[in-house]
Amino acid sequence: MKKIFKKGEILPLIGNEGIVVGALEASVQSVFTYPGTPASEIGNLFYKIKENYGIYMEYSTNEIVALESGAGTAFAGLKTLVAMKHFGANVALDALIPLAHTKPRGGMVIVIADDPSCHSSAQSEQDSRILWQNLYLPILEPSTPGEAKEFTKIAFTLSETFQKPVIIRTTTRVSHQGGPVKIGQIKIQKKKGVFKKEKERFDTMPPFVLKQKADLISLKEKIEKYLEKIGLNKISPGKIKEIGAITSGVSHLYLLESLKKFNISLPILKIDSFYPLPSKKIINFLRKKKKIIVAEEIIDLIEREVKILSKEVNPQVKILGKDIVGLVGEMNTEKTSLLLTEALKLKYQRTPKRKIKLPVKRTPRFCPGCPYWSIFNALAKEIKKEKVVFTGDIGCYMIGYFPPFEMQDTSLCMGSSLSLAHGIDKSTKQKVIAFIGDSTFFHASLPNIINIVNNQSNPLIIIFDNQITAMTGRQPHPGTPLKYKTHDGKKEIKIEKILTALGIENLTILDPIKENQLLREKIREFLKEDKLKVVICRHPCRYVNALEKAKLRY
Amino acid sequence: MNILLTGIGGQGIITLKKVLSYAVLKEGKFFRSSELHGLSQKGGEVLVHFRIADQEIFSPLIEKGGADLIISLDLHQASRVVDFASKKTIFIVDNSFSPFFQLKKFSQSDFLKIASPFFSKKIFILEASKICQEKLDSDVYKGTALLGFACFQKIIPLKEKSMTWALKKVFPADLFQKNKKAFLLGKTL
Repeated sequence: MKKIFKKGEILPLIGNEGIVVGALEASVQSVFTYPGTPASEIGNLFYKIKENYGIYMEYSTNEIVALESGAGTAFAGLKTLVAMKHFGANVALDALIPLAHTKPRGGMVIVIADDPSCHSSAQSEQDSRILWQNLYLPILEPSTPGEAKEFTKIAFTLSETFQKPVIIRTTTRVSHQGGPVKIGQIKIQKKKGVFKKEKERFDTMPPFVLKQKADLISLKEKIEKYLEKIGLNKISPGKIKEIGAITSGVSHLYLLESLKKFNISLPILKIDSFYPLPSKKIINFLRKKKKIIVAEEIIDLIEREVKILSKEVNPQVKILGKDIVGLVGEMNTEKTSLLLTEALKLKYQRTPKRKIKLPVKRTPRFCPGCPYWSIFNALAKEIKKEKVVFTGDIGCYMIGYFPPFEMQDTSLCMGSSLSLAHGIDKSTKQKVIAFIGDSTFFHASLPNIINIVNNQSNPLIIIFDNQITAMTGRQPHPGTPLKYKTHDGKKEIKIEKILTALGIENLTILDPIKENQLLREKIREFLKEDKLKVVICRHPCRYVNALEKAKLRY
Repeated sequence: MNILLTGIGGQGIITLKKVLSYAVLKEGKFFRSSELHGLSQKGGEVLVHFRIADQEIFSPLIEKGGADLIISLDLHQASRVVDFASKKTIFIVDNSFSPFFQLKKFSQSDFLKIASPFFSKKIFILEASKICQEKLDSDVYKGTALLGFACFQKIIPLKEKSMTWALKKVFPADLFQKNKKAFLLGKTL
């Protein structure tokens, strides 16, 4: 089959594409993911090229399924990559911590993409690095698309050398940062895996899980040395000697930009491996310094470690970081400039705030011809929104939160609309309508619906079924009709069959555009009765084929 | 050079970024860019930061007040990003506005009221969508036409040849022909 990438070519890639190319250069054999911004393009690109490179790739039902399946192929000896957004890492965490105790035979790389400033993650600004305290797994943080590629390759080698999964942590401004990337040698590795039984390697049971934990923790020093040997966590010298900067991820680039602006040269220690931190290097770096700037995304995690290490070697050193720039919102050059001005007592005029009244912001809206618009339109016609509680979920129907509909009172995480509706219905006399999408239904709704049936609450559940994972780029899911998924999944699983099996009687399947009157009738019925009701509103997304049809052009 | 590309989700801003990226690499220059994907881009505002230089540059983001050029496919959207402009900034804006729930009307003079008292006289408000609709039967090519204008006016440091090469790289054959025409229409704007 035609190969997409040619050795030696310099291509404009975003960070996520860099990760894919890095994995190809490392001869990745199997890939598992569930789409989620800012990680989605990793899966999208693998989906388009997997046949060209003979890779097994799937859109798994959710992130924990992806991680467990990936653990399976890695246990059997295949080089495996699993990718997810930060919230996906929460879903996968139950498997991730025990997995850290095991020793995959094939290299295993787990990509977790955080979203500082919540650009495309409504629910919270999460720092996934915080997981390290339970994982003790290497966590690498690239700054550019080129590093995203190189660090992915390093992660595979590291994983094979120490027989541990390795995490690549990106943020939106790395995953969606564009820049030139040079393509290297891509070697395809075709072999079938074998699961060779070895209990204390793959199983985690007491008491040996504690020995596994001790082994895991003891790797720290060895990995630190290894990373030192291959040249990660570099120090670049600077003219000013008593002030230094410690940076990671995209914040490194912001600091370099600020230094250029002020024409200042500082020694910089760039942290490439958040875990294990290069603690000896940090200690040496702190010697004789009066001030240290720390620039990192989201939580002051490196900063805290630096503070602890400084106690030993240089307790007088002043450490400037999140106390100057705050804990909320992503880093940028304005923030790194602020850190510099504080540290060097520079006269820096922040761009003066002009008194311009900007016009109202354009909020997201449904695409023309979107079936979800018709659902909200029916709801708006039949319901006074003050009278009913709308529990929202994760998908394009979140646009119902914005004007003109403004029908979304809660949003916690994938699947939460159902259990929130259950709780509210149990505790109030109010009418509750839960919104859930088709991909979200498969991802995280079954235990919730079973609970509603078993413990008997009476919300109206509207399933927004546009037959594709639309919000993240139209990736297929288990319910996607076969005609829309030529590269993934061999079945079309019907939501209604699952619901019927659970004993839900009050079930209607309709087309919200063609049968809008029927939908309105069902809403009216619900308002009168006190009974659990499910309406599947099924009509394909107008761009259902977008990913399937998109031709790769590099 | 710091270029801010802005418009509405679905107008093809990310595709324009790809065209610029390939043209920059064709000329052996360096670029760094930043884009966003996901929920907010569904019919919402889209901002792409695109920085070109002869050597490596660092930040993928343009600072407030730091844009040399703002290309906007919508009048209202151009006025939303004036924070990125300074007295030196050149504006290339399509003379169109796509209404939304909170705002039904927004004219050229509404935009100028916000932009011109504070910023440069180099504000080009062009009839790209109108001309693309007339000559190519769709205004979808207006972004390419604006890039053409920026190229032929020598506002962006990229040659026509590299831009055409980049268009060919980014678009499949049929769309390439249309986009090349749109690009050349940029000469007449």
